[in-house]
Amino acid sequence: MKTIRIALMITAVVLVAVPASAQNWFWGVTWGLSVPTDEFREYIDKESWRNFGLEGRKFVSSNQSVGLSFNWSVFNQETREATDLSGTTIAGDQFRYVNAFPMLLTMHQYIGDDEGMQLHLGVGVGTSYIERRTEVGLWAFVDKTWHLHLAPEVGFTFPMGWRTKAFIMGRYNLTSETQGFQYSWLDIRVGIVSL
Amino acid sequence: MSKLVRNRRPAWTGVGVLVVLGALVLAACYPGEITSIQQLDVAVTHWDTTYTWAKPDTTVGLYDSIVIVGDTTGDTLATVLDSTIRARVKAGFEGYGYTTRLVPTSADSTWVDSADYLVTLSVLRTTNVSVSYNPWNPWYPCYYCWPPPRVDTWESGTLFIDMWNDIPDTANNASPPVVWEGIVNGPLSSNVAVNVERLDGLIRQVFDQSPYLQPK
Repeated sequence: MKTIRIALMITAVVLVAVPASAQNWFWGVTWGLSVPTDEFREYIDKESWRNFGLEGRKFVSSNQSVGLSFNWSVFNQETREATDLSGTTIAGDQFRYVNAFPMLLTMHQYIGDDEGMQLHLGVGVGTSYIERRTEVGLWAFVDKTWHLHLAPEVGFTFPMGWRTKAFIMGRYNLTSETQGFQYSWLDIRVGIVSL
Repeated sequence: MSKLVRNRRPAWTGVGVLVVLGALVLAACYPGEITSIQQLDVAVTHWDTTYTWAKPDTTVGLYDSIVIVGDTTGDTLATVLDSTIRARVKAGFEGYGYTTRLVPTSADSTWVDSADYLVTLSVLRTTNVSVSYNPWNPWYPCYYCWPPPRVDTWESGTLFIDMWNDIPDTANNASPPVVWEGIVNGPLSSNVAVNVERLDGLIRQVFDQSPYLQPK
């Protein structure tokens, strides 16, 4: 709840601050580390380097943007942990996979001179399609679900020349609960922004 | 404060290269792979959560024959596994303090009634078939010589260990209830020794994960 509250506050700040004046675009690709948290971590407690993101942002003023963010994160873990259900215990090698595809509308506020390091605060709201697959023995149990998705983030850009900037960001991903399962994970990503 | 970007034209080439590299980083939706047949073995236990295993009921009648479902003509596997299964199940119950007796298949009801629980063993052998297609034609541009689908068959075996209470459900005119069931399943190897070793370990596992069987 605390996370949602902070994210909503950031959203409110950005929304209030956005004036309408069309300017340039910001395109970026990101890659990095994803770390499951909370309930999701009980299912997979292993960090993943398999994630990939595309960022497109349209500047509506000199220091504010709105945009879209598409991401694909793959989590996986092999475990021999026995699973207890009501009156049933299943033991064997389990291969657990989660493929998450967040699709977000983003809003960002930029602080600092774009000639140097620039801080951006933002939030993404949207939806995510998540496929959870548990393979045990000769069987696979698959859940395909859609969730509402909220993602507050903070990032920095650094000029690199050649019309590009280096990009580092941290994003906390929180989904709504669907079919009794809620996902949350932390992304720490680096990337390149094309200007 | 100046705006973040100055150049009007995105560096599309750079972005494209990075997109491709990013996709390669992900490589697969389902990373990891099966490296041994043992990774496909499963041990499942199912029990009556309302039932309590209590003393002095500590005698288990273990049937001396295993019901085999499936084609075993000319197959020595079942015979080899038979003794392994019965020995390991017997050891499993005795490990929890039960006294086991072998029950002849022809035993009369008096004999059966002398045990507190009856344990039956059955094996199901299944032939599995899968068909897969290669979505990429390695013979391109000879598009008409598309490779045939790949057909895989394999056999899997399942052992059911059923523990029956000796008190019939007379109210419903039904058989005595099964209070515990252990199920082990896995693909069969052509190496009998490997199958025996795996089966032994899996039967141990179903008992290890059932501590409630200890009579209190």
